[in-house]
Amino acid sequence: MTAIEVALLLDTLLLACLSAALATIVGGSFALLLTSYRVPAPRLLQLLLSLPFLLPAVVLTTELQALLGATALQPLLRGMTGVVFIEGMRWAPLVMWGALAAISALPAEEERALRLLPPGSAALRTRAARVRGVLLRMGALVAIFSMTMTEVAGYASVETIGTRIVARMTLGEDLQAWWLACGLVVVSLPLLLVVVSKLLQPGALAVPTVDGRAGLATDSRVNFLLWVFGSFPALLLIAIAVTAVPEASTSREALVEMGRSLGGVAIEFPRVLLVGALVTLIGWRLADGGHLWFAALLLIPALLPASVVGIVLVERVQPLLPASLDRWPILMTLAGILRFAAVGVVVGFIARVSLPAAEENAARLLKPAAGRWCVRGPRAFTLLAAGVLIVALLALGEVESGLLLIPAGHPSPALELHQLLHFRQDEQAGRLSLALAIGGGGLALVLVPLASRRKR
Amino acid sequence: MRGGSWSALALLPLIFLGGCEDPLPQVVIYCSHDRAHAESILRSFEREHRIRVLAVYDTEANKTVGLAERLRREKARPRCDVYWGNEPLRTIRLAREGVFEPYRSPSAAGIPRRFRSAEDLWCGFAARVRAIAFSPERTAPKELPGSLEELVDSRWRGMVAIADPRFGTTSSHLAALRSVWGADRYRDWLRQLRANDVQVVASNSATRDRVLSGEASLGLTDTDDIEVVRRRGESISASFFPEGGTFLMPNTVAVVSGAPHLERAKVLVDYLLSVEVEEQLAAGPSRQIPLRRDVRVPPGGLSLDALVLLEVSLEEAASALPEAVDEAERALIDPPDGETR
Repeated sequence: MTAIEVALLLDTLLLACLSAALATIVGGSFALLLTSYRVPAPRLLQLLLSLPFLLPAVVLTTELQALLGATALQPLLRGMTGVVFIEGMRWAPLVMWGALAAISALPAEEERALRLLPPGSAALRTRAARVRGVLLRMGALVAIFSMTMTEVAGYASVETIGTRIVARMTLGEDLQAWWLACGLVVVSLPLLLVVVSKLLQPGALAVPTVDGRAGLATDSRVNFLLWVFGSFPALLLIAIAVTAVPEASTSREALVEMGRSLGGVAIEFPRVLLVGALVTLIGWRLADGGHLWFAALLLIPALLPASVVGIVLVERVQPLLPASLDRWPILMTLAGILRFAAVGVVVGFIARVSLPAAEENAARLLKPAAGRWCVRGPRAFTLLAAGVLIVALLALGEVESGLLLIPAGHPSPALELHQLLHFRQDEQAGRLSLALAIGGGGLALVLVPLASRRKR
Repeated sequence: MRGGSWSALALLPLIFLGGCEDPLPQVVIYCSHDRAHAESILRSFEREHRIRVLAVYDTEANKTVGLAERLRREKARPRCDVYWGNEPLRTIRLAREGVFEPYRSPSAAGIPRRFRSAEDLWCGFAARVRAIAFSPERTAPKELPGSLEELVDSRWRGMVAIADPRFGTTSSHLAALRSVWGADRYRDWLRQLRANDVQVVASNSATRDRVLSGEASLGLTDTDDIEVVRRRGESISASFFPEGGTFLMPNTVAVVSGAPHLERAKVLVDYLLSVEVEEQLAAGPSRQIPLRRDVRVPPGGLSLDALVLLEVSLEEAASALPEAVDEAERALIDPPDGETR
């Protein structure tokens, strides 16, 4: 590996850590404010703040450039600053969801005590201290995914190790590409260790019992702050919706096309939900069995660019499958499972350590399977549902391995979006983005309340 | 337990949604040409021949390895019947690796020999060219550079944008330049471009967008990238290189070796090489250039006669591709010698 490539690796590591830090600060702050104060329409606010994650990276980047590109804020989108800003904003909702789920699972007595504290720094600090472990894990997870970034970095004109690997593979220089990929894994190992070392550490979570918002303080400054941040993604969505409005003469075609887009999203939804469910169940099962190092192995594919995972599957696995299976997205699904297993593992282990000691002891009196699926499983359900949602959305936006593995004729909204945006088919791209946002939002509306529901 | 695991297994059939049987016979195409232009042509073929075309379209930019690489990786067991490339050099390299099967299409009769493989492994049709995108509101046409060498002139310092030189048609263009100019002149030009603070962006469309936003005065890109937004009323135009020669990039079509549906693949290739398709592409928003002189060019369209072309052997340019890309990476992407990031 040359000195330049080593420097590139370290640059990418720096970018990934800064992006993760920004995502953790922003996402964690949102979660703390949303749970510490009585804010108007909290569910709507959560949904708005989640929008950057619900939209594919290409749409987020393009819309940000359209909104800010001609303003004095343009430097925010270029160079390393641009990468950190966009990646940080994109992943912040993921951290927010993790922290929300963790805070919603605080023990009842503690939650009640927190609500008796004067609103402000004391309660906020205490909550932050209780979810610090979860925030650290989520931050490390974001850093792991950011290590392989190519897309956002490309738009910001920044070279990353992921781009370099893709460039080598494009020229058929596989050996060099693998060498760089190995370097990427080695450099990312500390991040992996942070995630793994924290996995079995009993954290902040315990019995979720407090319901509602009783006792929470109202603060107009917090409301203002959260709604200002919430309205920015809403502005993005409005901009997309305005772009998507067809001219009167083409409204019929546009309706048909919107139907087709929604159809494509609907066809992909069951598949990505399957990926989410399998990945989360695998993570949960490994966590429940205490298979820490096997789980750590599953984190490794997340350290490789998705193109590398795709190429391995095309070259090594596809020839083993009968041709009659070519029309189904089996390899695409497998790639999603490999690529996003890290999310399932982290969510599974967080869910596992959140079990209260009393219930854990009770479950041990039962047969192992009954303890797992009748006691610990239902208790973990809230977090696992959030995991399914996160993985499903990530799989829906996956382009790199998708291009290599998608069966001919199979719909891929994410790929189509890239193609439409390239040719400035803004109207069509807007409609497809809306279809994706509607689909993702619908999924979030179903799964997020499940994930953050409170049991009595 | 096992209830939980079995219920997870019960989700597996979800994969098979969307892969239902079609009553029409099928043919599979990997299409590097832009979806916006290719889709209507493939739909016309479906209607005319009652054969369902299952297409995978490429994406632009530098985040994926692309369909050409997918074809190469699938060589052991191809899933694709026909490859429609949007530039010739990668097709030539794939042909050398034995990815394609010889097929002499009767539709290719009028296409000049220099745009066809000597072994009938691929055939070119309707071309695009590399051009300079500029905004007539900001840059007067008389100020425009006549050749690529003028891009390094100090008056364009920091105002020229170019796509990532390792991917897509930009890499092909650079390979053609290296092949024509020779290694020394090529490397020198790259060094001067870097010294002139050229903006290296993600893709050809990003290059065009930099010109639209005013961040760059000139953008080296493809004609179709410019034309699609010009037709939407944006203030942008294309300028060619009257002095240095313009690089012509024909589309290419090839039958994949070991294609699962060989006979249908040949029918599709015949269709794509037809005069009608070239006319359609010439009239469409990608403003492509017919390779046959007898094909009708619509008003405002481009024809071979109207351009001064870069005289380049496509085979030699294909051979120069890896070195051209490596040198461009070192000159334009990597930090300058002695500097750290």
